[in-house]
Amino acid sequence: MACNVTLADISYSCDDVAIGGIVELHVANRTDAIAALTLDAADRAITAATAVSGVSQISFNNKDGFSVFSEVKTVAADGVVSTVPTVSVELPKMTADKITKLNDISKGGAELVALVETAAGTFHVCGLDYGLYAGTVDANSGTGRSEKNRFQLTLTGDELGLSYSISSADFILATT
Amino acid sequence: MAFNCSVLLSDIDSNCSNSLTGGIKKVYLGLKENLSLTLDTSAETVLLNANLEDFVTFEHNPKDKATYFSETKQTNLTVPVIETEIFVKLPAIDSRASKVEQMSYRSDIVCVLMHNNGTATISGWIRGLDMNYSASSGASITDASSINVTLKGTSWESSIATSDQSLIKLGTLWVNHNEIWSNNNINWG
Repeated sequence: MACNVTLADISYSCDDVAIGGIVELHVANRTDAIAALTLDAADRAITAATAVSGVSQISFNNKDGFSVFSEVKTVAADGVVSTVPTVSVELPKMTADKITKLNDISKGGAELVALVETAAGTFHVCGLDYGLYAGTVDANSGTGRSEKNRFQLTLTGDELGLSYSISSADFILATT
Repeated sequence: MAFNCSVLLSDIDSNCSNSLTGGIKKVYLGLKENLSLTLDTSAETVLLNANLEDFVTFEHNPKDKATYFSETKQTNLTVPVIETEIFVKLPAIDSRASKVEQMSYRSDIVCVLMHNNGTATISGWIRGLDMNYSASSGASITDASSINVTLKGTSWESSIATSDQSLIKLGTLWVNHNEIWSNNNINWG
């Protein structure tokens, strides 16, 4: 069975500070992202970038203890592979402006791409294979003064593999 | 002389780099008369080139978990029968239901599907496909309103499949992995 996989060393460095959290989130329509980014599908890397048309930044409190980017790649014994990325952000205060924008973004059939910068200094683009969609928009007033009035937006999807990596320079170019 | 039907067996290998991802990415329909194929002369169903000169696009939600391609072959007393079924779920009942009803008079339809795993299939290239549909409003807000289109065909040859989608030309555009698709107008003759 022709099933040799590419193996390579994975080194460990004490300089790899594994600080958690995300610091920036940008979203765009997948067709616009594909037009602006040069993909290396084999290495899951973006090798060149231009400004992505219509890209929008979703700002949040970096210390909210909620916002997160995660993805889980699952390989079944029968060969079916799936990767489920999830990007969740908390947006304080249910303002009229946020109601309009979040209601617009959360539509069936949407194919979105998320560009994420993590606190550890890594950059990811997910949704390039089949697109993400706004799986939930959770609005809550809180029940008391110690609780938050907020939205929680979750983007999710089902991808061929892990998110594409992108250099910090290309991340800036793509999100400008 | 021993029986010989000149069909040779050949290896079918397994490559774990091949994607098993299911689902359909794009659906294109046309008429058989507008489809031209170039097949390998030594292996009849190996595609070298295809051109569907006039075509329409049936856009579906690629995440609908409903749209699919299915094909079965049954050989009975040496008679092979291949049944192809393609199901496309079009979101929401609207004026498109009337268009689908009009199109369903045809029985010489060919269907080009772009699969999520990078494969492309051409169905109906021998005898054409029949189109049927059902439309459902759903019974409540959480149900989907949809037009469910079914393309069915029976033939002695299977759909043509290729892992190189760039072999298929739609209208004046080559289909490529950059997903730049044409939107030709409907022309059902």
